[in-house]
Amino acid sequence: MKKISLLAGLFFSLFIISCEPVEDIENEINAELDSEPVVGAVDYTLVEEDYTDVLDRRFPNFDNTDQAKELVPVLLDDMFPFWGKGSQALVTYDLYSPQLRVRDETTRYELSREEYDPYSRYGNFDDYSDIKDFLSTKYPDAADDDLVLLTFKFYDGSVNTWTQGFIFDGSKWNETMRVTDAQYEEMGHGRFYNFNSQDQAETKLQILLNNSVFYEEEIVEGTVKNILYKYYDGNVNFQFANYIYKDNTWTLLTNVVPETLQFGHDGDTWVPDNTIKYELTADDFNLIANALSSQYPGPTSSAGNYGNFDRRPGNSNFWSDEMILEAMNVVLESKNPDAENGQKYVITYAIYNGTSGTETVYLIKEEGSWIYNPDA
Amino acid sequence: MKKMLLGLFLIMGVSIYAQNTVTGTVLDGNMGSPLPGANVIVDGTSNGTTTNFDGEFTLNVNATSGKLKVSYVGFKSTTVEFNIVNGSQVDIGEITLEEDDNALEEIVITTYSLAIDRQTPVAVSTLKSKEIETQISSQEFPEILKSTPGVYVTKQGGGYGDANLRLRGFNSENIAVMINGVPVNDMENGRVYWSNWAGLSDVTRFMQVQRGLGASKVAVPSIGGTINIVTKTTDAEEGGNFFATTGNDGYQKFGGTVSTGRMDNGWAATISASKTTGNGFVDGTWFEGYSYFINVAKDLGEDHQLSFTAFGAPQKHGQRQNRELIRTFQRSEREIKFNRDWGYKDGQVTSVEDNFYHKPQMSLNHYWDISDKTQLSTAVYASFGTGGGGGFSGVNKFGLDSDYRDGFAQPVNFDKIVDENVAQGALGSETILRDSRNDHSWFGGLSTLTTDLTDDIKLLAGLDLRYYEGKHFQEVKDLLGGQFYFDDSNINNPVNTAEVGDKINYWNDGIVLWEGGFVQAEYSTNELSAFISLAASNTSYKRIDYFNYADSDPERETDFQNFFGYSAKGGANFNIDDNQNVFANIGYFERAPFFRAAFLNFRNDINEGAENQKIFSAELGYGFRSSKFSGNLNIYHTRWNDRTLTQGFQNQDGTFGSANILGVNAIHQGIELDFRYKATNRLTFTGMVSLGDWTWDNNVTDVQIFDDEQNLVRTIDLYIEDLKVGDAAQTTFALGSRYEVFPGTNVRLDYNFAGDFYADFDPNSRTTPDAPQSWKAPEFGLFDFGLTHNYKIGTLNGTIIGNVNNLFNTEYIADARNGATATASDALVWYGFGRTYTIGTKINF
Repeated sequence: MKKISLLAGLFFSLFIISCEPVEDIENEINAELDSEPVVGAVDYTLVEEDYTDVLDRRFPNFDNTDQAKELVPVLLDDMFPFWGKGSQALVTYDLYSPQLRVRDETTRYELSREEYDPYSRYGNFDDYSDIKDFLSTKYPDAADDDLVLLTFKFYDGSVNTWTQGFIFDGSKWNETMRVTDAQYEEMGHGRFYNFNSQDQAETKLQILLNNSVFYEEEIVEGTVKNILYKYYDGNVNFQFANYIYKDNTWTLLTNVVPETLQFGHDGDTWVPDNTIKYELTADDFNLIANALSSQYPGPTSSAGNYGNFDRRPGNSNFWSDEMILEAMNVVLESKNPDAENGQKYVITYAIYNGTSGTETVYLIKEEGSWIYNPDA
Repeated sequence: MKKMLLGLFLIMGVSIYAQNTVTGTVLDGNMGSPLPGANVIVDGTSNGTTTNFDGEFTLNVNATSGKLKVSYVGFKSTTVEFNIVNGSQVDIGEITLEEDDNALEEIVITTYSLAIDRQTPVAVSTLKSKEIETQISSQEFPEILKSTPGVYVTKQGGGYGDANLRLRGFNSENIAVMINGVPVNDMENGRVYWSNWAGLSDVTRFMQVQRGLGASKVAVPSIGGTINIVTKTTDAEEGGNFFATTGNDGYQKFGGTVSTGRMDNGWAATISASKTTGNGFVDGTWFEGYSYFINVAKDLGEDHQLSFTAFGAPQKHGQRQNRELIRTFQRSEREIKFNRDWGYKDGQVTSVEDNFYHKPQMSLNHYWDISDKTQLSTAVYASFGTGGGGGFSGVNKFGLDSDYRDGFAQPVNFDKIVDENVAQGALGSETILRDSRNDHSWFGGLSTLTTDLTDDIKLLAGLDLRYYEGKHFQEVKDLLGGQFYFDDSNINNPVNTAEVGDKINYWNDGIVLWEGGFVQAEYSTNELSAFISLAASNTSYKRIDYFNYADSDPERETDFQNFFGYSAKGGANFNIDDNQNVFANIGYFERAPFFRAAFLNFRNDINEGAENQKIFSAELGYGFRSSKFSGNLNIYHTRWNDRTLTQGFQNQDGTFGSANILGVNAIHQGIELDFRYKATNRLTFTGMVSLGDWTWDNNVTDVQIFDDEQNLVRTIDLYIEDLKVGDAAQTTFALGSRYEVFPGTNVRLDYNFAGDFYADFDPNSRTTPDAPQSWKAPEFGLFDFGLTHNYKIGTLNGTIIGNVNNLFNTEYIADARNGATATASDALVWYGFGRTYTIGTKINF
């Protein structure tokens, strides 16, 4: 009986000690996984709210590239708080770059009752030349290309309130182009004769201009057209869109230029970074196999055949780290021969170490050749 | 019906002459369970009966005292006295029959190279059909051996039949598996594929594991040991059974067996068949397997017996070929069931990696009693295998974070691959599914002559001839939507736009000839038995390569490359008294290299001077037998020298050269203890402890290799000294208990522990000095629970068998391959299964 109790006791103690043998290892690995950042990559173009709401800027653009380098990371942190080391963002933003032909602000003016007095006693205009005369008097110091968006009353059988654009050509005021009702109809806005947004207007008007024929005017490189249009955002608004004729095409003229910069996450924050991510293709392995076949006949034939690097040490087809660096030089010299010193790459390639998998290496070009990036 | 008539006759007969009744119960001394069908006969008369399902008998006798002789196949007969003192009835209580391996026909023992307790000087464990039947559940066939000392079995990836057994730290290349005496290890690579024998558990009479040198006379690669599987033949009793089992993950198995028993005209036949299906515990490891077994035997007169056996187990199953990092399993929502090797195509589960084989084996055995002293046993056999393993060819689109999965570690989206292949149009498929086929034809003959030189000395001599032809090629299985697959591997057809069924990538044949002979002398008295054995074999390899050589090229087909191997072994057993015995054995053998070492680079590049591997083994054993307790203690020491290490290179003239490096040696030594303790008639404990010390022996450094012109090609340095051998748990122990809760109802609780398991690594890859031991996986212990319940429907006896394996759903790592840092962070592993169960019933008729 004693022996039976002993054996039964042994069973019980086995039960106690046999719980979850892998738990410690799994907990450790799970802790690692938890502390590992999410790695993401994004192509992003800033929208107006990014500048004005998130970054508290007055205008939807940056003053210069340095400011972008300082502020874009703030925005990226706000957008992707869960992304960490190794993440990349290709960010496009607007830089303020004032151009001569476009004024920052259009002068908007609506005439008061008294201001019609020199021209009419009915409190309106009835002759276009009077308007231009009024503008010359009102803005005696007008400069070239000054724009005025004028709201006025005009008698043309009955009294109407109109808003029209005028531009100063150095000697006199001329009315600007404006979108006619027929043109609104043509562009699919025939019901209310306005656009739904400024972006829509700018896009459609560029198409309109490029489809228009100017019979009485010679259009040359650099010619600018200011078009007055209406858009509706709860209220009806008037706005100018400015186009310049360049390379035989009308393009929108703005005071900003888009600029694109790559940022990478270094573990703490986003920093400007020129790293290019690349994954080796089957063609790359063939390229490597051909280029290095005389040095490494076995490994290259394996790499060409299977499209991966054999990473089993001691195997006759084994690729050492040094051999892989040689292979990376082959690939990058072919893909990006003109890369400048300092250019960085993150390259991922297929391997076989008993199971198929991938490895990733960090490279930088120094003194004309690619080396493992010591800072990565 | 015959039996019933006989019973009726007996009852009528005795009612005339007898007034007295003897009752009793016959028990299996091994299991403590009732023995149905045992013969009970009044000694010296023909008056007898058989026990019922509960082992009980009632026998009318016409005397008040006498002797009853109780017998049952496979057990020692016993005689008990009865004495009717008062009245006309006596209950003589329980009669226990002890097992008797000697009860097997001697010819079977000789032919099948079986070890006999207290006679054959080898370490041995034997599992009987009943244990296999009640414990196998949905486990793989070799897993039934997991509580045997020195054994480490895993399911590997978990596919149906993909199990792997290691014995004393050696893998299947170094373990001989014999079915009815016929060696079944692959002739080219020496491996054992258990899926080929998936259904065999249903008809196995017993399975004997001989550890170390073993009792086999033929030259077999028993470095780790020998597993003998003996199927039922003419010993099968008349009747049959039907069984049905269901279990976790859609597991279903049903089948049956019918036996005629030995009929009056000398014929006996057994037919067995089963079907097994399921989804698999691991994702994407669906399976469908069949098994069939047929044995027809005929006694021809007194002196001849012919027996024909055919069996096979056609199967197909999804596989998990890729091990993963632990972190990958942790990241996957499927956890330990995660498998990257499958996906969906058109809504159907489709495997990247799968497997299908059918290797039927047929043998004709002839037993001939030439005289009282001389017998001849001959087996001729044939096997025709077809099958292969699936995989992909072309661009690898199956990485864990591939765009062809709907997220990290999700199943493969084959539809996307199909769309791309369709779009490829006249460029052909970019990625396809292919099968790597391995078909074979195998013929053999094995003949053993046994003769008694004196009463104590027996001489055995025999021949072992084999012919094997293996065909190896890949073929297109599924173009995955494309028009064709471009393959330029065939020099005779370099622009091959292959379609389904066309051969791609490689095609070669391997032909193996084997001529072996053996002679053995055995001395046997009651106290002392001894044997000495010599075996020699010539292995010839020929390779034919249809892809790498032009049809006209004479190098397409090699000459036969011959390798001579031999073995010499001997041993003795001494029975100290009725309870104790000691034995010792010692042996040395040289084994021919495998096919892959004879030809290198997957070409007809002949490896001149490929070296034999050399094995020395010695063992001491002690046994204790009593009615309540039996136990064994073994100490072994095995030296495995000159593990194959070949280096190929190019000579300056472009010809191929090779060097064979000696000195990669391993020592496997250890202590094994096992016991069985019958605490009461209803409670039995079993247990086992196996402590292994398996290490690589020595560094192999500064070995210089020169080409034909004596230029230094390279220098080999291997740093393996004191590295633990990987891939098998060096420490295992087991504790089991069986308890009869009610008559006919038994419960079973088993615990198996595995520790000191070092991740698998290739010693030939250890080229840096002072590298650490390979990663040691966490040790683990698992509980299995089983229940059997006997019941009766009318005249039919039935058994309910329920099993729960890994009762507490313990997560553990069963297989591991070492990574660069030798830690858990880069080891590639397979987890063992979580909790699995089956419940089934078997009805005997």
